[in-house]
Amino acid sequence: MKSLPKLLLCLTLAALPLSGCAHKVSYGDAGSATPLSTEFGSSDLQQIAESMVDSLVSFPPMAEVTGQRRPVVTVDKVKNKTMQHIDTESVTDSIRTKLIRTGKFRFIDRTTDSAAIDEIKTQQESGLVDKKTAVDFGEQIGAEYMLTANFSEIRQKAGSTTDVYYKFTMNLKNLRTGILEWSDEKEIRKTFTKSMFGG
Amino acid sequence: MYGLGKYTGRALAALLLTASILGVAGCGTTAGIEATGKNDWDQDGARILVKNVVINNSGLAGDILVVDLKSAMSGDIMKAQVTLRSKDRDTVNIQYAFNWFDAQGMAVGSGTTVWKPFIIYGREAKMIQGVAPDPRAREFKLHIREAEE
Repeated sequence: MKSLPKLLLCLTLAALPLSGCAHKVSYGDAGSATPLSTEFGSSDLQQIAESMVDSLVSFPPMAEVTGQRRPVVTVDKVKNKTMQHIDTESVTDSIRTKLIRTGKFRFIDRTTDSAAIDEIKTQQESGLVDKKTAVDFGEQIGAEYMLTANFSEIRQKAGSTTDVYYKFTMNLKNLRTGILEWSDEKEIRKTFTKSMFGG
Repeated sequence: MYGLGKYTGRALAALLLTASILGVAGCGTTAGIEATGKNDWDQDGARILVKNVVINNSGLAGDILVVDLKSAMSGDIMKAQVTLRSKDRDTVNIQYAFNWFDAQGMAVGSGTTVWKPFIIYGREAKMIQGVAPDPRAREFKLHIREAEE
């Protein structure tokens, strides 16, 4: 009969690691590559951004150009041809940030132009700003290149398996000549198989 | 009334303990392999790469072999290439991430270490390439770990 307390102790000890609170909030790794679904996720965004930046920075003709000067680039909206609502600006923001951080490229940002116009107007017209330091209209630098991108997906479903193929294509267009100076694509495949048990 | 003999109880307890340990072990380890390549110069002034591989996960090292580390410069940006060979007959799913350091050993690039999925098919040799985030990088460290389930 001595075995009962021992058994209970063992049972409790054994159950301890299995137990836990029902609700739990914790910080995760922002760079984690564990997919939760076939939907476009944070890791996909990071993979696309890194792949595009790595390719553009190490492309020999561009390395030659950026070795002499820091060209000015503008970013076009991504053509999102996927079935999902994706914040594609977030993708191009990541790409632009990484490119700026390389010190090889300079960017103009048309999305903040209205605020810039308001500020320049204030500097010119309000009488508050010293004329010697006030910024004039028509002094900004025009972009030499434009980054354009297409984002598409192919979704296939067979039985309990869903297969999604993403393709992100990016081009660097020379605005003066219209020539695509660089282009690359990143492909991502995600497969989801519904489990027979507990699915 | 307990109906359980001393030995049956022990056996049950051992079984439960094993099950609980298995439940904990299911997450998989995040320790892996680190391959470091550092740019240096020999006595004649030629650029050499000082290589070092640290294995923190012998299970993974049983599946994946780091064959070679290379580096090249693209303009003033450092590029790295690590060749891996699978010793397994089956497909191995891993994740990798690069960290970059300048000549003084200070980390360069953003704070987030971005992990990327990587698939190596049975007995296949495959290359992982990385490009430094800016021209200061002189050293790279490639982390390889098992893909999380």
